[in-house]
Amino acid sequence: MKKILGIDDNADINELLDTILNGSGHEFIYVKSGIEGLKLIREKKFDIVLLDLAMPEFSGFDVINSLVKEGLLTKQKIILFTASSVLDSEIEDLIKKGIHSCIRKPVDVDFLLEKLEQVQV
Amino acid sequence: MTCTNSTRSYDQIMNRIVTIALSITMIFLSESLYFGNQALAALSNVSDNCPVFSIKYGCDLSGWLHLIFDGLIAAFLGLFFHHLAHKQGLKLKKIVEEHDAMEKRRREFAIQSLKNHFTTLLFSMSLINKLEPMYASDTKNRDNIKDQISRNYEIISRVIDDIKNLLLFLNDVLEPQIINDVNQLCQTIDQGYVKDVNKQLRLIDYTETKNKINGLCKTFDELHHAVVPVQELFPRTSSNSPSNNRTLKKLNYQEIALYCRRILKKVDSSK
Repeated sequence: MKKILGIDDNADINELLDTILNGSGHEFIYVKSGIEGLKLIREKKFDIVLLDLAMPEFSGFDVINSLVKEGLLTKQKIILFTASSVLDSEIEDLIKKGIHSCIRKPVDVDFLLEKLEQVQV
Repeated sequence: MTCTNSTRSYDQIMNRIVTIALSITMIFLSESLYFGNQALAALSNVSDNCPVFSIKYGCDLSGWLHLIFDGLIAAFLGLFFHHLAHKQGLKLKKIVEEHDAMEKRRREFAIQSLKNHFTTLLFSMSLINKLEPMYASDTKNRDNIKDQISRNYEIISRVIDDIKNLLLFLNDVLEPQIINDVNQLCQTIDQGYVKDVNKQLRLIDYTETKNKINGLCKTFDELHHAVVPVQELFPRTSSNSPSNNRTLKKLNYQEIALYCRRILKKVDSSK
């Protein structure tokens, strides 16, 4: 069982992930904005953070930059869960910074669960 | 919002061009009247010993003077027009660049939204597929499971409507092939609703739909490979972002989203 935090502004995806991941034996909670996510990361300990990049006001990049600044990036495994056309070079740069990996939307439930299982905490 | 700004700046430029053109015409007319008169006066002093452009002691030099003046004015006007053309050219170039940038952002937003919708579709369909066998076997929680299945069907139905609206309002930035394929996919999912013997809604061909979605996303990447780097796409709100002011001036992700939501609300209310 892994403790997972979802940061995504898409309400449907959050709700569905909640059903899927909690139903698969993980402990999943979600927030709808980068600021709330950052606050939760500071306060609590998570094994994995599923982070969307395309969010208004405070994007996933802002979350990453803030975590880097505060030295909290390696506190948990951050997986980018994004529909943005992120360039491979951008992902490489982020992985160098300390991001675990990137899952591009759309994704199948089984694939997502498999990827989450593969993450060693 | 940006369309209005672009139109406003275009109008401003046109007004300025008309004003400048009128001023130049007025200057040219006054100058022609004055110097033309002077030139005629100079011609009245022309004789066999002193032609218009002769430089001799006792001859009138005003012909030369007029020539020099006219030359200087012509040079000044030439430079002035060149400067104006260059300046307006730069402004027009900026407008075109802004328009292109906005088109790229709208396209990126359309593709992102479609991918998010596809994710929702896949998740919902997958959940329905997992819940259906449970519905048949678990008699205790049957009502609860049925509610969950219905909820997912509602999500699918809503997402398909959202996709159709998205295609309608962002069709100018998407390739016709993509629009056609996405429409076909929506149709396939729409037709996937069937009722089984228990009168329970059931979605068929999940794998086929999944493969179609994956194929579509590959097509997105192939046709729209020139993506806007994510760093440039979203407004930077943190204080350490160097391009904060510059990015906020442009139409950004948030504005596009608000714009689309406003249009979608209008469509919903008109329904």
